[in-house]
Amino acid sequence: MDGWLENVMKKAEGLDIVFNAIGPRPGAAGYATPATQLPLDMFFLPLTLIVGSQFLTARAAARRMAAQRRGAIVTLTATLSGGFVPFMAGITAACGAVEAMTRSLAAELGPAGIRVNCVRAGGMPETRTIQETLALMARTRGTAPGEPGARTMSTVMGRPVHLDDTAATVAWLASDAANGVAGQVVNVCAGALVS
Amino acid sequence: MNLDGKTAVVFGATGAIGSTVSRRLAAEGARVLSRDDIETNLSGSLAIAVAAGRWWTPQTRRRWTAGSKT
Repeated sequence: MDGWLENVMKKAEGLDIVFNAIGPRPGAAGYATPATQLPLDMFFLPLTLIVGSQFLTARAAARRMAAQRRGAIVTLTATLSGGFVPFMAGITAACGAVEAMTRSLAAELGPAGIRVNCVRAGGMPETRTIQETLALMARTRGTAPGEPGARTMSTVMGRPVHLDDTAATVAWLASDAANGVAGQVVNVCAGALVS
Repeated sequence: MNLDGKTAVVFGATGAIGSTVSRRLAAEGARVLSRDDIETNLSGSLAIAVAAGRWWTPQTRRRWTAGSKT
Protein backbone atom coordinates (compact mmCIF):
# COMPACT_ATOMS: atom_id res chain seq x y z
CA MET A 1 0.00 0.00 0.00
CA ASP A 2 2.79 2.41 0.83
CA GLY A 3 4.41 1.73 -2.52
CA TRP A 4 1.15 2.24 -4.35
CA LEU A 5 0.56 5.56 -2.59
CA GLU A 6 4.11 6.57 -3.43
CA ASN A 7 3.30 6.06 -7.10
CA VAL A 8 0.16 8.14 -6.70
CA MET A 9 2.24 10.92 -5.24
CA LYS A 10 4.65 10.82 -8.15
CA LYS A 11 1.86 10.85 -10.71
CA ALA A 12 -0.30 13.44 -8.99
CA GLU A 13 2.41 15.51 -7.35
CA GLY A 14 0.50 15.39 -4.09
CA LEU A 15 -2.09 13.61 -2.04
CA ASP A 16 -4.84 15.73 -0.55
CA ILE A 17 -7.70 13.43 0.45
CA VAL A 18 -7.96 9.86 1.68
CA PHE A 19 -11.24 8.08 2.38
CA ASN A 20 -11.63 4.44 3.37
CA ALA A 21 -14.96 2.63 3.02
CA ILE A 22 -13.65 -0.89 3.45
CA GLY A 23 -15.96 -3.18 5.38
CA PRO A 24 -16.93 -6.83 5.68
CA ARG A 25 -20.06 -8.56 4.45
CA PRO A 26 -22.56 -8.75 7.32
CA GLY A 27 -23.02 -12.49 7.19
CA ALA A 28 -19.30 -13.13 7.33
CA ALA A 29 -18.73 -10.76 10.23
CA GLY A 30 -21.35 -11.93 12.70
CA TYR A 31 -23.79 -9.07 12.28
CA ALA A 32 -27.17 -9.74 13.93
CA THR A 33 -25.69 -12.60 15.91
CA PRO A 34 -26.53 -12.80 19.63
CA ALA A 35 -23.43 -12.22 21.74
CA THR A 36 -24.07 -15.49 23.54
CA GLN A 37 -23.52 -17.29 20.23
CA LEU A 38 -20.80 -15.12 18.73
CA PRO A 39 -17.39 -16.79 18.45
CA LEU A 40 -14.46 -14.66 19.55
CA ASP A 41 -12.80 -14.66 16.16
CA MET A 42 -16.02 -13.47 14.52
CA PHE A 43 -16.33 -10.75 17.14
CA PHE A 44 -12.82 -9.60 16.29
CA LEU A 45 -13.34 -9.68 12.53
CA PRO A 46 -14.87 -6.18 12.16
CA LEU A 47 -12.31 -4.82 14.59
CA THR A 48 -9.42 -6.37 12.72
CA LEU A 49 -10.68 -5.48 9.28
CA ILE A 50 -12.19 -2.05 9.78
CA VAL A 51 -9.98 -0.61 12.50
CA GLY A 52 -6.92 -2.25 10.98
CA SER A 53 -7.51 -1.01 7.46
CA GLN A 54 -8.48 2.49 8.62
CA PHE A 55 -5.21 2.65 10.53
CA LEU A 56 -3.14 1.37 7.63
CA THR A 57 -4.62 3.73 5.06
CA ALA A 58 -4.38 6.71 7.44
CA ARG A 59 -0.80 5.84 8.31
CA ALA A 60 0.25 5.50 4.69
CA ALA A 61 -1.45 8.76 3.78
CA ALA A 62 -0.10 10.66 6.79
CA ARG A 63 3.48 9.81 5.93
CA ARG A 64 3.05 11.53 2.60
CA MET A 65 0.73 14.34 3.65
CA ALA A 66 3.09 15.35 6.45
CA ALA A 67 5.84 16.01 3.92
CA GLN A 68 3.61 18.41 1.99
CA ARG A 69 2.12 19.90 5.18
CA ARG A 70 -1.48 19.47 4.07
CA GLY A 71 -4.17 16.83 3.69
CA ALA A 72 -7.53 15.55 4.83
CA ILE A 73 -8.21 12.04 6.06
CA VAL A 74 -11.85 11.02 6.47
CA THR A 75 -12.69 7.83 8.33
CA LEU A 76 -16.07 6.11 8.31
CA THR A 77 -18.22 4.55 11.02
CA ALA A 78 -21.90 3.88 11.62
CA THR A 79 -24.44 5.26 14.08
CA LEU A 80 -24.22 1.96 15.93
CA SER A 81 -21.49 3.52 18.08
CA GLY A 82 -23.89 6.16 19.39
CA GLY A 83 -26.99 4.03 19.62
CA PHE A 84 -28.18 0.82 21.24
CA VAL A 85 -28.67 -1.80 18.56
CA PRO A 86 -28.58 -5.40 19.83
CA PHE A 87 -26.75 -8.34 18.23
CA MET A 88 -24.07 -6.09 16.75
CA ALA A 89 -21.29 -6.29 19.34
CA GLY A 90 -18.33 -6.62 16.96
CA ILE A 91 -19.20 -3.92 14.45
CA THR A 92 -20.36 -1.56 17.20
CA ALA A 93 -17.04 -1.98 18.99
CA ALA A 94 -15.21 -1.39 15.71
CA CYS A 95 -17.08 1.85 15.08
CA GLY A 96 -16.29 3.12 18.56
CA ALA A 97 -12.64 2.23 18.10
CA VAL A 98 -12.35 4.04 14.76
CA GLU A 99 -13.91 7.16 16.25
CA ALA A 100 -11.51 7.12 19.19
CA MET A 101 -8.59 6.51 16.83
CA THR A 102 -9.75 9.42 14.67
CA ARG A 103 -9.45 11.79 17.62
CA SER A 104 -5.97 10.57 18.46
CA LEU A 105 -4.78 10.78 14.86
CA ALA A 106 -6.27 14.26 14.55
CA ALA A 107 -4.32 15.44 17.56
CA GLU A 108 -1.12 13.81 16.31
CA LEU A 109 -1.34 14.96 12.71
CA GLY A 110 -3.03 18.32 13.12
CA PRO A 111 0.20 20.22 13.77
CA ALA A 112 1.49 18.85 10.47
CA GLY A 113 -1.43 20.39 8.60
CA ILE A 114 -3.42 17.18 8.28
CA ARG A 115 -7.07 17.21 9.30
CA VAL A 116 -8.56 13.88 10.41
CA ASN A 117 -12.33 13.59 10.81
CA CYS A 118 -14.88 10.82 10.90
CA VAL A 119 -18.23 10.48 9.17
CA ARG A 120 -20.62 8.51 11.33
CA ALA A 121 -23.25 7.43 8.83
CA GLY A 122 -26.74 6.20 9.46
CA GLY A 123 -28.09 3.08 7.81
CA MET A 124 -28.50 3.75 4.11
CA PRO A 125 -31.24 1.44 2.82
CA GLU A 126 -29.92 1.35 -0.73
CA THR A 127 -26.69 -0.34 0.37
CA ARG A 128 -26.27 -4.08 0.28
CA THR A 129 -24.79 -3.99 3.76
CA ILE A 130 -27.98 -2.58 5.28
CA GLN A 131 -30.23 -4.85 3.24
CA GLU A 132 -28.30 -7.93 4.32
CA THR A 133 -28.08 -6.76 7.93
CA LEU A 134 -31.82 -6.14 8.18
CA ALA A 135 -32.53 -9.56 6.72
CA LEU A 136 -30.20 -11.17 9.24
CA MET A 137 -31.72 -9.13 12.04
CA ALA A 138 -35.24 -10.24 11.09
CA ARG A 139 -34.11 -13.84 11.14
CA THR A 140 -32.49 -13.45 14.55
CA ARG A 141 -35.57 -11.80 16.00
CA GLY A 142 -38.01 -14.06 14.24
CA THR A 143 -39.81 -11.09 12.75
CA ALA A 144 -40.85 -10.15 9.27
CA PRO A 145 -38.18 -8.54 7.10
CA GLY A 146 -38.37 -4.77 7.38
CA GLU A 147 -39.81 -4.72 10.87
CA PRO A 148 -36.45 -4.13 12.61
CA GLY A 149 -35.48 -1.67 9.92
CA ALA A 150 -38.51 0.46 10.54
CA ARG A 151 -37.46 0.81 14.15
CA THR A 152 -33.74 1.32 13.71
CA MET A 153 -34.24 3.86 10.94
CA SER A 154 -36.48 6.19 12.92
CA THR A 155 -35.11 9.67 12.29
CA VAL A 156 -35.83 13.32 13.00
CA MET A 157 -36.27 13.91 9.28
CA GLY A 158 -38.71 11.06 8.89
CA ARG A 159 -36.53 9.42 6.29
CA PRO A 160 -33.31 7.48 6.30
CA VAL A 161 -30.05 9.01 5.23
CA HIS A 162 -28.93 8.22 1.69
CA LEU A 163 -25.63 7.61 -0.06
CA ASP A 164 -25.57 11.07 -1.60
CA ASP A 165 -25.98 12.64 1.85
CA THR A 166 -22.98 10.76 3.16
CA ALA A 167 -20.85 11.46 0.10
CA ALA A 168 -21.62 15.18 0.29
CA THR A 169 -20.42 15.31 3.88
CA VAL A 170 -17.21 13.47 3.02
CA ALA A 171 -16.61 15.97 0.22
CA TRP A 172 -17.22 18.88 2.60
CA LEU A 173 -14.85 17.53 5.23
CA ALA A 174 -12.23 17.01 2.52
CA SER A 175 -12.61 20.54 1.18
CA ASP A 176 -11.04 23.78 2.30
CA ALA A 177 -14.50 24.83 3.48
CA ALA A 178 -13.88 22.55 6.47
CA ASN A 179 -10.41 23.89 7.25
CA GLY A 180 -11.49 24.63 10.80
CA VAL A 181 -12.83 21.15 11.43
CA ALA A 182 -10.54 18.51 12.93
CA GLY A 183 -10.95 15.55 15.24
CA GLN A 184 -14.71 15.51 14.82
CA VAL A 185 -17.18 12.69 14.49
CA VAL A 186 -19.91 14.07 12.23
CA ASN A 187 -23.31 12.43 12.40
CA VAL A 188 -24.82 11.99 8.93
CA CYS A 189 -27.97 10.12 9.80
CA ALA A 190 -30.97 12.37 9.07
CA GLY A 191 -31.30 12.78 12.81
CA ALA A 192 -31.26 9.15 13.87
CA LEU A 193 -28.91 10.39 16.59
CA VAL A 194 -29.40 13.81 18.16
CA SER A 195 -26.77 15.50 20.30
CA MET B 1 -17.31 22.99 -2.16
CA ASN B 2 -14.44 23.15 -4.54
CA LEU B 3 -11.95 20.33 -4.80
CA ASP B 4 -10.28 21.56 -7.98
CA GLY B 5 -6.67 20.52 -8.16
CA LYS B 6 -6.88 18.10 -5.26
CA THR B 7 -5.99 14.44 -5.49
CA ALA B 8 -8.09 11.92 -3.59
CA VAL B 9 -7.59 8.22 -2.93
CA VAL B 10 -10.67 6.16 -2.08
CA PHE B 11 -10.32 2.68 -0.64
CA GLY B 12 -13.19 0.21 -0.86
CA ALA B 13 -14.52 1.86 -3.99
CA THR B 14 -16.20 -1.33 -5.17
CA GLY B 15 -18.92 -0.82 -2.58
CA ALA B 16 -21.86 1.56 -2.66
CA ILE B 17 -20.39 4.09 -0.23
CA GLY B 18 -16.91 4.12 -1.73
CA SER B 19 -18.17 4.43 -5.29
CA THR B 20 -20.64 7.19 -4.41
CA VAL B 21 -17.97 9.14 -2.55
CA SER B 22 -15.58 8.68 -5.48
CA ARG B 23 -18.13 10.12 -7.88
CA ARG B 24 -18.94 13.02 -5.56
CA LEU B 25 -15.31 13.98 -5.04
CA ALA B 26 -14.78 13.87 -8.80
CA ALA B 27 -17.88 15.98 -9.37
CA GLU B 28 -16.41 18.58 -7.04
CA GLY B 29 -13.27 18.72 -9.14
CA ALA B 30 -10.91 16.27 -7.45
CA ARG B 31 -8.79 13.76 -9.26
CA VAL B 32 -9.87 10.46 -7.71
CA LEU B 33 -7.87 7.28 -7.66
CA SER B 34 -9.69 4.25 -6.36
CA ARG B 35 -7.94 1.25 -4.90
CA ASP B 36 -10.47 -1.43 -5.86
CA ASP B 37 -8.05 -4.26 -6.01
CA ILE B 38 -7.51 -4.44 -2.28
CA GLU B 39 -11.10 -5.47 -1.73
CA THR B 40 -12.47 -8.56 -3.41
CA ASN B 41 -15.64 -10.44 -2.71
CA LEU B 42 -15.39 -14.14 -3.34
CA SER B 43 -18.79 -15.80 -3.46
CA GLY B 44 -20.02 -13.83 -0.50
CA SER B 45 -16.91 -14.36 1.51
CA LEU B 46 -14.40 -11.71 2.21
CA ALA B 47 -10.86 -11.45 1.13
CA ILE B 48 -8.93 -8.30 1.61
CA ALA B 49 -5.34 -7.34 1.21
CA VAL B 50 -4.56 -4.84 3.89
CA ALA B 51 -0.98 -4.47 2.83
CA ALA B 52 1.25 -5.95 0.23
CA GLY B 53 1.51 -9.67 0.80
CA ARG B 54 -0.94 -9.75 3.67
CA TRP B 55 -4.32 -11.34 3.30
CA TRP B 56 -7.00 -12.41 5.67
CA THR B 57 -10.25 -14.30 5.17
CA PRO B 58 -12.94 -15.33 7.62
CA GLN B 59 -13.58 -18.57 5.76
CA THR B 60 -10.14 -19.91 6.25
CA ARG B 61 -9.77 -18.24 9.63
CA ARG B 62 -6.28 -17.27 8.59
CA ARG B 63 -4.80 -14.42 10.48
CA TRP B 64 -2.77 -11.60 9.08
CA THR B 65 0.65 -12.99 8.48
CA ALA B 66 3.24 -11.53 6.22
CA GLY B 67 3.38 -13.47 3.01
CA SER B 68 0.30 -15.61 3.57
CA LYS B 69 -2.23 -15.36 0.81
CA THR B 70 -5.54 -16.96 -0.05
